[in-house]
Formats: sequence, C-alpha cells, structure tokens
Amino acid sequence: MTGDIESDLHEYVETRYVHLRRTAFLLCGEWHRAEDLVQTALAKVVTAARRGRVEHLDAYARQVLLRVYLDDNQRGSRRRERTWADPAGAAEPPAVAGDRATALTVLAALRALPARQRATVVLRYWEDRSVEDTAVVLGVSEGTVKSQSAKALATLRQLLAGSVGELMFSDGGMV
Amino acid sequence: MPLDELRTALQAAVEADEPPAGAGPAAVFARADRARTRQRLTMLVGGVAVLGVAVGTAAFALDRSGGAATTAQPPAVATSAPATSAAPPATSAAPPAASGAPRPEVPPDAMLATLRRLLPAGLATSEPFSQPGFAELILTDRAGRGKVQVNVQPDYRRAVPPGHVSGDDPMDLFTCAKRKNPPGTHCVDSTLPDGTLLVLTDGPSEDAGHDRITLRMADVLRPDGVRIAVGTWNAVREKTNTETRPEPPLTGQQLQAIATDPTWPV
Repeated sequence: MTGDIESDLHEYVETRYVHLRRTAFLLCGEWHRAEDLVQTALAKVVTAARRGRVEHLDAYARQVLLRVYLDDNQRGSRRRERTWADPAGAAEPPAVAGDRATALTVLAALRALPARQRATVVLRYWEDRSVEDTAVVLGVSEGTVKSQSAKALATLRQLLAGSVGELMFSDGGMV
Repeated sequence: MPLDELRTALQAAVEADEPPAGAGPAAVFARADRARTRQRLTMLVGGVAVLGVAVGTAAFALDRSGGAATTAQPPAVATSAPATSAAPPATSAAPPAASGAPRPEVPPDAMLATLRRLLPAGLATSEPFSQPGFAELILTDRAGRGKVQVNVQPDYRRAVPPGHVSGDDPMDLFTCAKRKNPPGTHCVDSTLPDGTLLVLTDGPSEDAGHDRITLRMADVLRPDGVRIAVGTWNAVREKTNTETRPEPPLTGQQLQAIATDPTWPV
C-alpha cells in the first residue's frame, strides 16, 4: 500500500481481479456472470474505499463479493437455481475426456449445491479460509459453517463418486 | 491429502475454460465512477425550507457556447409564488402527494432506447450503460467525446420524502436559491405551462478540484411526481479531471427537450 488510495485501489484491482473472478466463477458457474459479479463487487469496494470506509481491502472485497453473489442469487435467479439443483443432471459425466472432464464434473457437482453451501465450500476450500473467517463473511455462526460444510461435502462425495479419484472419500480433515 | 485434492480439482475447474481478464479491471473503475455520478445526479439537493418558485425568465442563458447569459426562448411561465421561505409551494407545480402503489422504475433497456431516440441528430453513441431508471451514453461529434446520463424517478416525493435527505425539503432542488450547486454554477429555475418545474444548471462538476469538467443539467419535476434529470459532461470520466472537449455535447435547450419529452415510459 502506497498511502495514495487511488494507486492502492488500482494496484489491488489489477492484482486480485483474476483470483476474485475465479472465486465468483466457482460460486455461480458462469464466466460472464462471474465477470459481472466481480465487477459489481469491486466497484462497491472502490466506492467505499474512496470514502475511507475500508480498513482491509482484500477481506472487505471477499465479503462484498459473497454478499453480491448471495443477493443476486436471491433476487433473480430462481430459474437458474432450479436448473442447477438437478443432482442427477449435474452428476452426469461430461462427454469430454481427461482433466477437462474432471473440471466439468467438479463444476457440475458444485452447481448442485444450494447457494450457501456452495459459498461455504468455496470459502473454506478455495479461498482457504478458516471456519471462523467463513462464519464472519457469511454472517452465520461457526456451527452453521461446520454443518453446511458437512452437508456440502456429503453431497459432493455422492456426486463425484468414481469421478475424481479418491477426492472426498477420505473423512480426514475436510470439515 | 483430501483437502489438497479438492483445491487441485477446483483449480482445474477454473482453468478449464477461463477467458482472459481483458478490460475487466478498468470496467471496475468505470462502474464505480458511474455509481458516483449517478448518485450525485440523483441527490443534488440543496437548501432548507419550503419552495418558492422563482420566476423563469432566462431559462436558456445556460449555453456557454452562446456566450453571454441572454434570454432566448423558453416556454417558461412564471408562477406568482413569492420567493420567500415562508411562501407555500406553487400549487400548480407541486407534485401530488405519494399515494397508492409506487410506480415501477423504467427498465434498463427502455431507458437506453428512449435516451437514444431523444438525442439530437449528428451524435454518435457508444459505451451504453443502464440500470433501472438510469442510462448513460458516450456521445461523440466533431468536438470530441462527452457523456450524457439520465435518471428517471417515477415517484420523486415517495423516493425522497421531505426531511429525508440531510433534513432538506426535496422540493428545494427545484429552486436555484435553495439548491446546493457547486460555486460558479449558473442556475435558472422556471415553471412550464403544464406545471412542470424546471431547473437548468451549468457549471463545474461536483468533484472538488475538478475545475476543468463542466456539468450541464436539466432537472424537471412533472406535476405527476415524475422527476427526470439529464446531465452532460465535457468528459468521459470525471475522476481524471481531463476534459475531452471544450463544452459538454448537449446544450441546455437540448437537455430540456429530453427531460420534458412526454414519451418517457414512466
């Protein structure tokens, strides 16, 4: 951080944009929507930071991104969610081979999760955040994070059985 | 280790078809700037007390390119309300009190389509951006690039009830004496024959220190309570304080024509 808020913001957005967009993609499953989510979230962060309301840019950005995603989901995407919440379809093996097939299978399995469970998985295992941090970002208790994680992983285990090697089949340390 | 495998799988998932970031980071700042200018376009509220509608005799003295502030043509009709803080609002101009169900905001597509249709000929448009009740276009002619934004509030009194905005009366926005304009702003208020309140401003953009950027604006409040504010800048991004042309691309008269057009779908 240079102390010049505009320089700091430009540097932050340039360096973190790709990672945050990936986070958004794992949350929503569509690149164009991920782009919109991350731009909406970062624009809010920029606005708040210019007003001197942000202490830790990265923590704030992740929190805003999650909020934007959950709000967006709640507002206008019942149709989208119905489409995603089709475990049978989601678990169907894609007609491609190798790593790409694995990637698509993982994405499909993620999409099968309810929005908050998906957010929990992304925060815990993609963003590598602790249970405590995840609870703060999602605005829930630590117990809720643990139970959401357990439910999500159980669903993923079921959907990914046979698709992603031993992934998910060990009970050790996932929650 | 399962945790590592899950991370690896997630990493593979995002890298499978990841598009390039492109202009994404720049778009973030464009959105932030748009949000700020939209907010300011909406919330240009000033003064205290009750509206006394000033006589509108020089409505189009605002076109700087025309030089001196001479009267031109406006179909403005003076109200008889004295411009004192004790005076009641001009009854012919006051919007009805909010009642019944709120009117919905104009959809983004309709905002853009209407703005494009109402623009004068000879201006190329680009970089459309719209939200419910809001639209923005970059305008280009021989003088260079500039910006126009329009904000339509279907129920102004409902959206900004008296006393809600910094304790000010929202009607103060429609009289120059009470409206908080940046220093150096030329402001003319008037009442049109149908009772619509009109304020035209021309002056420095609101950002402190942005001395090279001019905001020219027509702000109307129709008798049915609909507020339409149209602003134009001689810049594409205010934040840089870099003018892209000597004057905003639209004159006060053109802004008024857009703001008072009866075909806004609201």
